[in-house]
Amino acid sequence: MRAMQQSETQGAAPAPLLDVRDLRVTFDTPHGLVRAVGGVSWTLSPGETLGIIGESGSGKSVGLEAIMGLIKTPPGHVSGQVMFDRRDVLTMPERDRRQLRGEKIAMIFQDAMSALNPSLTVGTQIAEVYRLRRKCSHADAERKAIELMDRVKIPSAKTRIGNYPHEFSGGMCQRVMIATALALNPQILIADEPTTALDVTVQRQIMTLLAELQREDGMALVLITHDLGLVAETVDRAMVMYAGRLVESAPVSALFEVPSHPYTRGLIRSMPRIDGASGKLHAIGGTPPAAGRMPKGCAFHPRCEMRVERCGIERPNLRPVGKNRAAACHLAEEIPHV
Amino acid sequence: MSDTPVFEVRDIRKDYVLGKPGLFGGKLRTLAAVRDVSFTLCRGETVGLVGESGCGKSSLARTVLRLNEPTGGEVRYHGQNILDLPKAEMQKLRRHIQVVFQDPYSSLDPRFTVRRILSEPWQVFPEIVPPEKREARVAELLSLVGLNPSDADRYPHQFSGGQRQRIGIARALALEPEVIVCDEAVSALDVSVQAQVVNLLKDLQDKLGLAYLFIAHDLSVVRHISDRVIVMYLGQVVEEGPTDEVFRNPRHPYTVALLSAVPLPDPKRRNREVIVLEGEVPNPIFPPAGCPFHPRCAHARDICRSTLPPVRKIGEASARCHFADELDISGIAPTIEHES
Amino acid sequence: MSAVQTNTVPQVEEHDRAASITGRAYLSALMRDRVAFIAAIFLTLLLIAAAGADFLAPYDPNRANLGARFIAPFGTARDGGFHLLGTDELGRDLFSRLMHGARVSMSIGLLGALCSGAVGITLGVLAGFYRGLLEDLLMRAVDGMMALPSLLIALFILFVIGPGFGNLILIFTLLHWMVFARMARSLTLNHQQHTYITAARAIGASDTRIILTHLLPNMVSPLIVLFTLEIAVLILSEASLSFLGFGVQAPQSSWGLMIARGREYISSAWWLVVMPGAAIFLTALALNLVAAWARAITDPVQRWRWLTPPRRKNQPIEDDE
Repeated sequence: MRAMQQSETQGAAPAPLLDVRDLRVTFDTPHGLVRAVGGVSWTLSPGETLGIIGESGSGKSVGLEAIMGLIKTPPGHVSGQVMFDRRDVLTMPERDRRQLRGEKIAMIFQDAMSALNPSLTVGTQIAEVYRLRRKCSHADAERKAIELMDRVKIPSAKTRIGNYPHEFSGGMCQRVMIATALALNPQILIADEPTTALDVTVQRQIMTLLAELQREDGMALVLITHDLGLVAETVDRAMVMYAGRLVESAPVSALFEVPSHPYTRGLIRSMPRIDGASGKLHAIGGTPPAAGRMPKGCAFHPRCEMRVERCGIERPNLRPVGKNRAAACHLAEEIPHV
Repeated sequence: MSDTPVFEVRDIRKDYVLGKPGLFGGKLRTLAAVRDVSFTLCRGETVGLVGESGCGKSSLARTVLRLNEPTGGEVRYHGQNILDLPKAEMQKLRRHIQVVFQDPYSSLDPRFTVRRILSEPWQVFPEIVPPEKREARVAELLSLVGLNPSDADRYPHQFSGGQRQRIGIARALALEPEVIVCDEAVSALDVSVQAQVVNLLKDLQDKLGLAYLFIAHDLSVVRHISDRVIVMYLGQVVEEGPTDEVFRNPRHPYTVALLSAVPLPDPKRRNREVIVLEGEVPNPIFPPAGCPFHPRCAHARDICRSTLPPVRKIGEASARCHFADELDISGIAPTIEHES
Repeated sequence: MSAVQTNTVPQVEEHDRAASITGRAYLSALMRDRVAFIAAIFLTLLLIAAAGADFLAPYDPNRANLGARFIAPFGTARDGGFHLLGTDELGRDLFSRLMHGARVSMSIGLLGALCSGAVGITLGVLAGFYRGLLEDLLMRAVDGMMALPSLLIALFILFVIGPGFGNLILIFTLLHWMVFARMARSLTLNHQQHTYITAARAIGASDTRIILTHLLPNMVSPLIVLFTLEIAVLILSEASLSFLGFGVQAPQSSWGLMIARGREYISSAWWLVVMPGAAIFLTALALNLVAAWARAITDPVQRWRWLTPPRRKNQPIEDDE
């Protein structure tokens, strides 16, 4: 795993902004210890847009929540290393970590409506960030809040600053969330399914806004999503997760053209396409394994069309397969085009 | 596909009266959730219904199932208007028109085993499957939807989302219906599982000649499963026609915007021209005058602000736009070109 | 930005655990939950004591023995009689009186809660299910009844129809149904949002069927909790009515009446108040504990916690390198 790590950073000139090494997250449940994320390593360069693709239960959100320190321990347990600014985020004191969260790394969620406090005005909630972190005066904080609302294109920010979250639509709530996340100019924005709850035209608005803001501020964006279309249109590099592990990592154009993992290929083929013909979809058979019931060998092998005997015995490690790419499959080189 | 319509909806309307009359009377607001929607379903046919939240598609589903009482219009099953039927007869007729819901979690009673969920319909309609054959029929239904007959004694929470949706489909099939309304039936599922359920629905249609009203917000899924498609905006049909025609050659600016907004899983085309609609869907309590889409439409002119456009037929499709046959907008939706 | 704690504990699929549940499994599950088990034993003993008080009580509860007045718990009278919980102002054995009182208190509590529950739940479910005028009228009635000074009303009615066991139950039903009605209505409204209710309607199920097979069974858990709490409340209400002379009439006795009588001697003979008070408290507590257990075990989503043996600690994960 470390090998792929090095191969990836060798070529790239800038030092990684975030360097995740062998991140593991387990939960102590009444059924026993359950592994949600098992040994994941990746890096994020400054200004880069990274996509993390996976279905529910693949561990795509849990890993990022662990980095942000949002996993309750216990029942959770996080191990590994997450280097940011030459320090390990996971071992730093809680105070420094809180500082980091919001100041340097911010996160937005799928359900913006419920992430906002229903009994405070949106203005108060945006201004709060300045008052708490920057010790701004009341008036200053409000002025900055209006500026931010303008930046995320909430129309007539001056009047809407006194509105409550329920008076906003889902799309507007997500804009408010983005505003609070951007308040302190973070270097990394983690967006966990930011548009899944929104209509497609609103999704288009939000994604356009995020791209614009990213261009202006030069921050890095980590987009967690199950939507391959969104990944294809937004990110530079994509990672695919399955059953708590990274199965493939590649530049996005290569990923969609020649996937190196049968799961990636299956996902791309099973997706209904608006520009495709009607007819049957190429579904992947079976269902993802339940946490705590991992099959032996490769976690995907029971659903894999290409499996060979080896797949059921030996778990493939993530290994480099060509320039800037890595895959965890014994047959990575033999995967056909989509 | 035969041409005898199984299910016909004519000018259906559903208004919701908001609030209660105050002590001193006063005028009540009404919300027109569904305004004069019509369509026909034939045996083995799928009509897709797309639109964004608040467009009235879920109200329409509940209304054609008569789970809501419509304000006006007709819903005909084999020519008989089911809206006139007394309650008892309506309950009898329900076996022919079934529904699959969006949420695979709340649509199954958590206290019932799968066996009980699947055989409950036969307690209401005992004549469909006699008691001694129910055991075998449950097993048959489970294998029909791709589950294991030994799953019959388990509870819903022991299944994954996709499996629960299969149970929901099996329940709908238990009554041997002719029409199934799929209300966002695959929206809550993961991509790989969604494809399985879409395929399952198609297989069942081929096998049993079912007619589907397939309601979804995901245009790609609708494209795959539907023969005809209806696009709704603010309670109204803005465009309607054969799926290929509507998706390749959209006539209404809203359809174009909607199609253009869907992200394409093709990094090579990420720099194509897309339409980013301004603003959001207006509050349906105060719909705009004239064409409901005009405040967000790039092509709006004076007439759009004052007059509701008539339905214009163009070939087999129709669109509710003043300029449906003039505007050259289909080129703006480049998602339509495809090789496969 | 406030840190949002998202609950991400992965859902583990449960495999065939709850498939076959035997009576024995319930019993062993009850034994594993020590607190509920003790509570269940307490309630069983209480029921046996109440039912068999005539044979089991060590003394005649109404036999005065002026030579043995105010004997403290664990005391022995001059005539050699041992009194586990002491004696009262007439020298009657407190333990025996508690056993006999349990019969009255428990039956008033149970029957009162059953009757008010039946009336309240029926009305509440109908109001929540059919809405409209019925709901408006019912909820206004509930608000009105809640605002009435219930003790005064009870006294007034009992004054007119006369005291007695049956009349007490009648009064309690009249004055307590609203609690159930209010809760049943809100539960009905809440559950109607679940799609499985709509799904049942879509397969042509009748209203009666929907209410009886889908709505009520899913409302049972919170109602059971309310029910047990009401039993405790009714035992106490009966106490205050008896205290005022409108409840249970001597020589019959109840825990409430015992507390009422004992109050005069609270400074000299504390046990006259504390013992029946403790009986009420422990009964209510035991009812609640058993109710919580029953609620969990009847819920198919939760019951595996109780029905599966506790797992080994720190069981290793299957595959790490």
